[in-house]
Amino acid sequence: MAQVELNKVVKKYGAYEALHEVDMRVENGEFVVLVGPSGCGKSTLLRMIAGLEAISSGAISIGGRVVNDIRPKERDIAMVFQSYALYPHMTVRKNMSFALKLASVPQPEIDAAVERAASILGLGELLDRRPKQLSGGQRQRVAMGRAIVRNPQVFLFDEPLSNLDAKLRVQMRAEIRELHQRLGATTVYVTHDQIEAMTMADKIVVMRQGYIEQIGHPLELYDRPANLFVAGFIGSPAMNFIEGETSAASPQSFVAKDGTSITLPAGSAALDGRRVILAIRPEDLAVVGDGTPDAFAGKVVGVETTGPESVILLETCGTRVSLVLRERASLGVGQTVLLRADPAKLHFFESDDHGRRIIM
Amino acid sequence: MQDRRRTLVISLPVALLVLVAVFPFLWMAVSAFKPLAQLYTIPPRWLPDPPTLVNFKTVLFESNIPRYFVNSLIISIGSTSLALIFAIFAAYGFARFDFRGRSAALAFVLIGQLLPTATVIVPLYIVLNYLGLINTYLGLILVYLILTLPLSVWMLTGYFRGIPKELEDAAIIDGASHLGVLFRISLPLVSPGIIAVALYSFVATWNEFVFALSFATEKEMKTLPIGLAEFSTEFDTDWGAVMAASFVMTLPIALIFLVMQRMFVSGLMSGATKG
Amino acid sequence: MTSRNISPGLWFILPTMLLLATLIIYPMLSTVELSLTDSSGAFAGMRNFNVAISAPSTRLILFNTAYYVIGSVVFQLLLGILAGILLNQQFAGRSVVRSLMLIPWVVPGIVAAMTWAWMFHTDYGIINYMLMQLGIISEPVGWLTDPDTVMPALIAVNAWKMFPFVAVMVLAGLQSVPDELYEAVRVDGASFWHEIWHIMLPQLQPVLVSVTLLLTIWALDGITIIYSITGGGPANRSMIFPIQIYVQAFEYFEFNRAAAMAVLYFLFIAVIIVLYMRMFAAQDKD
Repeated sequence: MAQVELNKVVKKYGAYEALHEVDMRVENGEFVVLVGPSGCGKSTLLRMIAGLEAISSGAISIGGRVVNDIRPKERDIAMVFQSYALYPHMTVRKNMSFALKLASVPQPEIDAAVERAASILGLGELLDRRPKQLSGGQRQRVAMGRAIVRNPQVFLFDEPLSNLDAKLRVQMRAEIRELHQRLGATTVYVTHDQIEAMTMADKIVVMRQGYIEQIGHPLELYDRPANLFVAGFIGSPAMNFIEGETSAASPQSFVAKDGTSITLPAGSAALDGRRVILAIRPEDLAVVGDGTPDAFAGKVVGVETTGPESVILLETCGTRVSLVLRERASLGVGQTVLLRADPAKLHFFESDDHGRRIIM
Repeated sequence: MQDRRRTLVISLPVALLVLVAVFPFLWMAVSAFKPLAQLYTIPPRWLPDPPTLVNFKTVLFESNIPRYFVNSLIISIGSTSLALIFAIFAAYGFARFDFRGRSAALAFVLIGQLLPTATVIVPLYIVLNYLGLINTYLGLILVYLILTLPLSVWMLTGYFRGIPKELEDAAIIDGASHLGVLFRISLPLVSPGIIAVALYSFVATWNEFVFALSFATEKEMKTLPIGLAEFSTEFDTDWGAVMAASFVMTLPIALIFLVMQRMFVSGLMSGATKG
Repeated sequence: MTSRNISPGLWFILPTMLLLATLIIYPMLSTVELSLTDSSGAFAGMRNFNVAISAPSTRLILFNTAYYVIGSVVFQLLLGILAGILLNQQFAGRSVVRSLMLIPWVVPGIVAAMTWAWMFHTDYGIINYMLMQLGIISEPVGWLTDPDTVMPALIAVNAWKMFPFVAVMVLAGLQSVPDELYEAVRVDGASFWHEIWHIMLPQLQPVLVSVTLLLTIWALDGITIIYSITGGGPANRSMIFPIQIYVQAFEYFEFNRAAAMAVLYFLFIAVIIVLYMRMFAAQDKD
């Protein structure tokens, strides 16, 4: 078991810099998820940890040893690929034993390792099949089996669930977590799906355009996003953003650009007279009755019901916001309702390019 | 109704097309089985009556054709195998690695494939002569690499590119070296491609005319196409024997075609070779 | 590992590139050298070129070459496009017909040449017989011995040999046209000819451009058929440039003059290859 450490890691393709001085640390036994939109550099980073991509500058170390110039096979890692990358001309057994065979491990040991991995993953009966004869979920398990067999220090996953259908994805999510708990191996997992990140990670690393935007526990990211990007990326339906300003004259209210006023919690002096972006999670907005203090009006433009809850789309504050109701909504499109935002759960961000969180 | 009319409108040109494509081939086969008297009659006989093997006897026992056949076989197989060995490495390099000069090198291979033979025969003759390789198997095998090597590299590069990169990444993670990846993963996966390329090279060299004409002038070293052409350059052409020899020469090609038809067509579509 | 100084890719391609350089670049440079020297190896300037260009037969040979190339390519394209469109239609036995159509292309060039020479035979050839039966000609034509018919006859052989290539490429091009496109124009009330003109040909344009260049290069390199059927005769009426190079070198042993002709010939073809590469580069963006 080992920790993985990235120190000012840069990746350049010619003059183009794809990763900018990335620093990151994965503790021993930790399950870290790299998440971000496509092109953010998360897969490149993973491939650099694996040794499939060269490092332009900086250092990557695994278990305290700098591995920049060490070949993948000597890094003691295993990787599960998006397409599973099972060798089509080999049986499941051969696929799983390939790495050990290359490492000249004695055959009885190989057999034992394969059997063990197969029983962990329930692959026993499939060992003599070829990848073509397996279902998507089975292939996924074989790919993991191939990684387990080697008993590596670090597991790397590159979007392993994105080729599965929605139902199977949820199931495999749980299986990978269970496997991690059982093996306790350090894991770096790449995905573009924030729900996967939230449900699986001990620690999430949010990336965008070659920069790390925030590193933290899933709920930390959810409750205290470091900037607008993370705020918008984590959570579904996405966080509502309302542009507006506060004035020195009335420090207790935020005025959206259409003039709607939203009451702020006490002690919001930090916002004095600034253009800011107010953000609020859909579940922190509520529909309230007439006469409720601090309420503001919104017009319903859409209602989406999933069964247990409803998402109401509204026009207010010069933008569109969504609101989650934990009940069946009896609202109709076109109706005007009163809304109230929980003052304790408001977030504020700078209204510049960086959109940093304003700490109050 | 509509369908019926359509069938009629289409079947006439289709019949014509089939006739144009197949007739010369059939006429060759029919002529090969005709006795002398039936070859030279007006009106011509459509079918030999009775079919005779006398032309084949002439070809197989009274001419050099069997020798030429063996020569062609040795040279074609030799050049095809040699080209494959080189091409597997080169194509893998082109398909999987990015390096400076890659596209220039690939363009050079493509030019090699299109290079007109007439432009290089003179110096090739001088070089082969200098090396003592005129009228040797090795000489033609080497020269035929001009045909087979670019072709094989070009086609195999396409096949290697068709292998998902992740498979090779997985093998590298599993501890394989570049050569290990090539031989344990990529090569087994392109084996249909290897067969197609080999057959293609074989056909290209089997049919080659100009180099053979220039560099294999001794009777013992000539190849089938040249032997065939010789039959008719003499004043008095034995057309029955020529057709029988043509038949013999077409047989291996026809067999390859029958077995590998689909590959042939896909290879043809890669624009890889001339007929 | 990819950060090593020399990419492993270079090692993979090196043996092949060296071999091809020996087999292609060296002879080409050597051809240039030969073209500038005389038979004793002394520098000859442009003399070989002057002799080659001013030879009385040069004009005729150039004309023949252009005649053969243009004639072949036009008929290969015409026949091939028609066959391709035809074979893209639905009819019973289509796959069998598609295979049969490939026969001309599969048959070895020399076999095609011999077979057609026999079919063109003046006295006993099946072609003269059929044409006379149909009343198209009244007496046997010496297709391969008459100076006026020898080129058309050879062009016919070449067109027959290569049209399946065009047909297959056209077929592939047509199959990549989505069915909805045909359905859309049919809904708009277009006739079959409209379909050909407004859908098929525009879709085929890129394919046809590269096919045309390939056919041109192959026709320019077309020694087998002509040399084995007529040897360039009668009286040079079917002599084309590449055969002339061969004849100069291996029948007259005028290596230097042959080299000069080869250089001229190569320059001409290089222009065409460059065009082809340009187009190819545009298609192969990866």
